[in-house]
Amino acid sequence: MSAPDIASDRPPAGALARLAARPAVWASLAFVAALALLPYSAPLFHALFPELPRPLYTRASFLDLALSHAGLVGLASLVVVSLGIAIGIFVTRPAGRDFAGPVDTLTAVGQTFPPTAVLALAVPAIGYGGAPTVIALIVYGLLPVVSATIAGLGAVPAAPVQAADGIGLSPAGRLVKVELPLAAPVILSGIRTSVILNIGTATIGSTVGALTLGSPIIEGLSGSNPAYVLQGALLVGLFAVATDLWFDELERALH
Amino acid sequence: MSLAGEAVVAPAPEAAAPARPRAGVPRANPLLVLIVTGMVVALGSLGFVSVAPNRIVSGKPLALWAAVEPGVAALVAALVVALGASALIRSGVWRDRLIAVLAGALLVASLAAAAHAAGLVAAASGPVARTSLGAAFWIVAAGAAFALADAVGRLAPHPLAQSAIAAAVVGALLALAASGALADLSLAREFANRRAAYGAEMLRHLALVGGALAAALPIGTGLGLLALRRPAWRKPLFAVLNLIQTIPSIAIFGLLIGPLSALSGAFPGLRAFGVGGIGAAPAVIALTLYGLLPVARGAFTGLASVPPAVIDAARGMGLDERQILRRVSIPLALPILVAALRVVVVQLTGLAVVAALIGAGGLGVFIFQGLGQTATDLILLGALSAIALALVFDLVLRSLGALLATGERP
Amino acid sequence: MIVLDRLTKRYGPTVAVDQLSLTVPTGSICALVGASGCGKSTTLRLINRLIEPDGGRVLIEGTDAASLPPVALRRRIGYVIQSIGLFPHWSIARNISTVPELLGWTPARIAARVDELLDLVGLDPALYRHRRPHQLSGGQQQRVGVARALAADPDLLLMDEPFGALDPVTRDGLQGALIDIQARTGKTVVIVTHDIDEAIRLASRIAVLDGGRLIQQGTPRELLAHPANSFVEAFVGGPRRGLRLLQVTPVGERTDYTVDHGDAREPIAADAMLDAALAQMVAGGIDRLPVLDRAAGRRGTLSLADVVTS
Repeated sequence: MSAPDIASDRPPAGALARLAARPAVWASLAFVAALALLPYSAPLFHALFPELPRPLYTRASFLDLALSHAGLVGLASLVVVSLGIAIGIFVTRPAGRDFAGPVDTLTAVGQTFPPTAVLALAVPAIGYGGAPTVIALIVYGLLPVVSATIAGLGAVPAAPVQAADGIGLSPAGRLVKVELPLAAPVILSGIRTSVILNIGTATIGSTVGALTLGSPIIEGLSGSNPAYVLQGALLVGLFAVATDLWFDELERALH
Repeated sequence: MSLAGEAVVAPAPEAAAPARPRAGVPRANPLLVLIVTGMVVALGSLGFVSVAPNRIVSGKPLALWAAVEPGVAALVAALVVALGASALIRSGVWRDRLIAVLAGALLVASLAAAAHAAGLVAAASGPVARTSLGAAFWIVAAGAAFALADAVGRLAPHPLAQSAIAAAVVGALLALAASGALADLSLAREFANRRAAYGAEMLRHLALVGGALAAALPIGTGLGLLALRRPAWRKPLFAVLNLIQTIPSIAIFGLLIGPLSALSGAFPGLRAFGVGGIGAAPAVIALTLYGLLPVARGAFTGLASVPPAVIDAARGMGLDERQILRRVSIPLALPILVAALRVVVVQLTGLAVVAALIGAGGLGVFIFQGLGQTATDLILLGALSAIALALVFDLVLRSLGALLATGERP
Repeated sequence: MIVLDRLTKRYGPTVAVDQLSLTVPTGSICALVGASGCGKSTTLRLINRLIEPDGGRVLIEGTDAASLPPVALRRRIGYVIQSIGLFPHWSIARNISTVPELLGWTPARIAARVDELLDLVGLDPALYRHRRPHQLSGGQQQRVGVARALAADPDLLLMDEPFGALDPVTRDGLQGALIDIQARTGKTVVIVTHDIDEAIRLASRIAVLDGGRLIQQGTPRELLAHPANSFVEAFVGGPRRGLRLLQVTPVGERTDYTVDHGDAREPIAADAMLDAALAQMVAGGIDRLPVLDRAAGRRGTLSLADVVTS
């Protein structure tokens, strides 16, 4: 409670300085800068790869690739977070306790599956394109969120739960006001795992026909164009790192 | 956060454990009812197999009763109904044993039925026709496998017992495959066409994982020890290792191509050792980088979990630092170390699939070839093999961990 | 004989042990006492070189400890700590045989030694040999801790608040066991404690530390009778000091041997302590007791007035 007070007392320059001290801000700026500058970097890549006739990826704009990539991951994550937390809550309530053991087994076994294999299996089931990618991201991304929600709710100490019952909170009130806030850090780390994993899996999604930042990498690899590979790897690496660092900020804000 | 670190860091011990169904509690099994309902709907509305005149054309779904002789269809249907009925039994252990037997039988029977359908197709339309496994088959097989796993999980919570049962089921399926009964399935044909390549790529996959482990285990353990001995280095070290895990695998593979091809360009002699922009070298290096975080964190968490008093007593009695590590710290940290090893091996097995994209080979070769040729069964061959390999590693290392924990724990 | 010679240890600007000099005669129990943070544990760990001093030296039977390899030195010194630190993955027997094993004893000799030590600390070898530490109570675990420290028959035993985590009844039993073991083996013992009653009961000499400095050393009686300053006086009990003094003063010293009342009651022994005599007087509602000095073969009388004033 003292931190905001201090912040409001400081001049805006101080707030800016603190913002600038965050690695997440720098990583995001680097990602945006790379996205903005890459279309004009043809001379640079010509110099770096003189043997390549077309060293800059132009089949789709980098901005479109990034938006499509973020869209796939965002859409999947939206479903994953809402569905994953709901499942986690359900199996820890009396009504769903019959499902707790099997769901536990399923998440434990499921997380040993290679994500690329799950993505590949979506193709025979659904076909090529963005849809199988989103489905695979949802299926695979659910596992860490569900297991983190179960672990987080399970790790809530007994004392506050009993206290909540003692002051007459309803089961729903107890869940919303006591259990979920206490489990939030664990659940958030599960969401973080899921999102970061899905950014990587979506990159491979370009092999099943989705438009992502992995597309230049895959095309570069199959067409022996290392410049494409470098461009895609740079962007997707910065995207993943920036996202991860924002989760760092989020976790710090939660504590 | 890491991708797979949760298994290493144990959750808080003092916790109000959520209510879990206990073994032998007399209750019906609503989940199994749900699974069996799904099976029935799938068998009624979806193709059990999919039949195509040749490998290129996509197939047409064929329902179970249309695909096989009535007796076979009746057997599968009877097993599904029996499984559904057993879900309603309200007694514990015997119910679960019955479910395990029925689910195992259904798993084998559905595969045999699909193979039987493939045989009928081959007899009727010749050897070029392809019979693939249909959606209904997958739903029945996955449901049966899950019902089996769930029942076994309740009957035999010990990983060693689970391994034994898993080995029995896999053995039954392999025996079925070895008998030649499955030979007409498209999946088996893809395997038969690539028998030699399959063995080579499987070995290659294992070599990639093994090579990365050989490097990541000593380096990661060293980093873990460093984190233990130098608290000031702990945060930056794990931040960097975590950042590596964050970057998508294909990006790391890609980023290594440039430097490595420059290296082999500058020193052509290195090519003799396989160092080049594409191939095994960047793959093993990238996998090693990924392995560092779980190994380092496992070593750190494991060794940090040894009670300081025990170390103090050991040192005070005149054990030197090596003896403390070998006789006290490592044995006490072993369960956590093995858990970390399991996480690393499973993760690297999965990531090595992607290595095929940079020409390093491995099981990913079949997946990406299949994706390129729209050859569903080739995709399945690669993906199922990768999943099976990861599951085998997981189960073996889980059993090892349980074996080590027996008698060691308070 | 253990000699600490101007021993000094600094941690940055703080001086944990400051020019500490102390002599512990062979075969005696010496207690280092003081409030927490006074440097008593640090001093103990300087002796077996778990911590290296910044100045001064430790002489063990005339040999400078710094001249020996630390590992070899520690194998010659028994070490017992409050949190016990038994190896949880080993049986009791294997825990006790750690140092003999390192020293290369034969298995038969080790096995015999384990049984001997379990007997010594009051645990039935047949019952406890193969148990794991977690199957024992805290008191039993510390008995094993003492046995483990004595395994290779060291001449010196260092104990860092060994009974601090035990309940009073268990602690009392282990203190008795330690007195008994020390009497039978003649070991030199340096024990760290913050419990002045424990120090009075166990030690033949007590060293009071404060802020890393030695404030006063002497027999328990010297400390109680003549505390060097108000700090020591407060530490040895303040207003209750008189009662503790009774615990360390023998009845014989205050007995009038010229008077023998021929009292029919059972006489109190001359080497019993005054607190016991006072307790008998209070319980019996009397103001004098017959005394028997068995060694000198004489009888006398202890009066309440003599208990109170010397």
